[in-house]
Amino acid sequence: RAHSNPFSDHRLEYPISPNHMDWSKFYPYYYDEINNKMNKQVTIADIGCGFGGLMVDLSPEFPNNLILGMEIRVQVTNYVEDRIIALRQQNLNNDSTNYQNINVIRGNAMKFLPNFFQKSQLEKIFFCFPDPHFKQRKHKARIVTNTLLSEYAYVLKEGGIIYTITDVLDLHEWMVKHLDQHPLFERLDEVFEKNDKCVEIMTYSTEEGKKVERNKGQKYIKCYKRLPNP
Amino acid sequence: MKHPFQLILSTGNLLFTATKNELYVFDLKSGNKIGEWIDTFDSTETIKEKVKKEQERQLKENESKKSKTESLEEDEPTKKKRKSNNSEPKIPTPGEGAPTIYNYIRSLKLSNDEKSLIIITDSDKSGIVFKLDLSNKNNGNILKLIKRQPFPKRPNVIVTSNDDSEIVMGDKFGDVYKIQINDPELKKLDSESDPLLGHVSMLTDLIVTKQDNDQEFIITTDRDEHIRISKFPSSFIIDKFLFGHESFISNIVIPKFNNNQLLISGGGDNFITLWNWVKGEELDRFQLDDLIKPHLNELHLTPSRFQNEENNLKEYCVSKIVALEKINSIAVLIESTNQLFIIKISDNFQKLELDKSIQFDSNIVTITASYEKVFVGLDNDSNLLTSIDIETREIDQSNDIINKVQENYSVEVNSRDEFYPLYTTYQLRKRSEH
Repeated sequence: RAHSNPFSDHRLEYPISPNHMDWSKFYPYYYDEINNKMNKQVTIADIGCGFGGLMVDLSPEFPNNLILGMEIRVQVTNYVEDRIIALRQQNLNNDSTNYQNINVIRGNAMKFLPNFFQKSQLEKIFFCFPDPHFKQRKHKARIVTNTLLSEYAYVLKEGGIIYTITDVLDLHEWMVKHLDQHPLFERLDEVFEKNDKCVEIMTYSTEEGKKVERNKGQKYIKCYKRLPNP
Repeated sequence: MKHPFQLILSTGNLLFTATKNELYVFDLKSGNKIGEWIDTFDSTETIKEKVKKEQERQLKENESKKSKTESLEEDEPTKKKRKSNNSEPKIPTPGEGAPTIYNYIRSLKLSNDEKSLIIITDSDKSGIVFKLDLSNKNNGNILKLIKRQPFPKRPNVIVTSNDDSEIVMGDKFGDVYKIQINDPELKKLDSESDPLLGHVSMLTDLIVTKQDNDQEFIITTDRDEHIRISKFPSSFIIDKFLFGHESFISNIVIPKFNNNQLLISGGGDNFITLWNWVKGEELDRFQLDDLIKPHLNELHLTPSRFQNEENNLKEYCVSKIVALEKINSIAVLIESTNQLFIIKISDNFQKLELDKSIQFDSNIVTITASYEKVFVGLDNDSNLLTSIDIETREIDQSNDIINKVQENYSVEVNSRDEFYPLYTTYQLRKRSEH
């Protein structure tokens, strides 16, 4: 299935609170068995990660960060799980992170993001080629809205960055409009976009991005910085 | 027979009641009816408007589609003439077996200064503000309607801001709006840009409050177990969440004792929780299973689709919590039961402890508390209302005023079949399919 209704009561697993989340299952490599705790926490989230292409490319670039993809579609999530297991197997003897720093979870980020992450926990949030929800009355289902941005601001630390990319101009304008309006975000300029390696990876590495590339479509990008609370 | 009260609210001197689309005010010194208002709004008008708008939109869409196809295949003859471009919009009528549509008053709240009453009407999805005019100039009716503000989605909960200058409303779509009460103009609210804050879940309760340092907060709860605390009015700053519930939340209460720092929450869980919301701490959990299980009845049976093989699975939920300021306690109602629990906040405001459970002859529909009394609305054809003295925690026997109120209340129906829904909180339970 290409779409999933973010409003319905899916049978989802989510922790009662961020303290209830057992991250050791997702990143066993970073679990300190002696002290019984994680020695790193997730700081990068890819919301609606799809087939996981972005995470796979981010993994070696950010060896000191844990990266989590969230995806609402069951089959897609299963695929990404298998993909990561395979990648970890194939790269067992490599010097790099061996893809131990990425994983995926099935979840509804629009409802439950604060159940997973503490206040100010994240450094980067990616929204790559989100569902455009063209119909007017479906606009609340879009991943960027005025009201949801407050939740993203809550889990992002000061100076943290929201990355957006889409091939749908209408959706791009929508996201830019709402991010511009939100008092806790500041638009980053083209100089940033040119020099930031995440922007480059996001543009070329996701499956959706490659598809747009093949079809010679346009890609629209904007990044925003989390401002301090006034 | 008389229709039980769906909602009651008391200030001590006044008792407000809502049944179907009818709102009444009774004087608790005399038992006389001193105010009434009936919602006569015809919802077919708004539906008509909506249908017309949709019709126009579709026509426009078809036009643009047509012009596109015509430019491609110009010699295609227009086979079908559009039947009726300017026909009157038809009001869709529900077919046989469709669930009944109820238009009733969904919420009764008082402003902080207790000089206004704020209600929600179903018919036009409005929040309505009444000034309480005790001067008796208005033909003996103390309800003076000063604002009727329609909202884009069905409102679920409404309160006033700390200074009573605004109404703050949460809707079934999860959004919260605020509106100036004294602004004579009605706002055309836009669900995209106007919400003060929003959940991607049904909004079930909300409180606007402030701390000693005058910092104001808005606390919102939803069907997905969240209690969210945001600054007010800068509600884009989320301060914290109170995590711990595992089912929907139906009710939160902040008692005035202990500097407004305590919050009690309940809903679909088999416990209620005491929090210090300022610190974000869970102080205590009060388990309900042992107390309530002996009193559950067939109304609590889980719907057949989710039932077990023995057909004996029961579920219950907290439908109402009210603060009893005089005795540092709360009263808790489990939906569709005849028990009322008085729970003390003891141990220097750290613990929830059962003080008393009070049994009634019939199921309780709703409760409200003033400083001295708890009023209890009952599901009963002869005795709809009773009161409890907060000091003694005993049911008041031979209460002339209450009897007078019941005499002066006259929403009549022929049978129980004509009752509007009395128990609705259980519907909030999530039934996930996949």
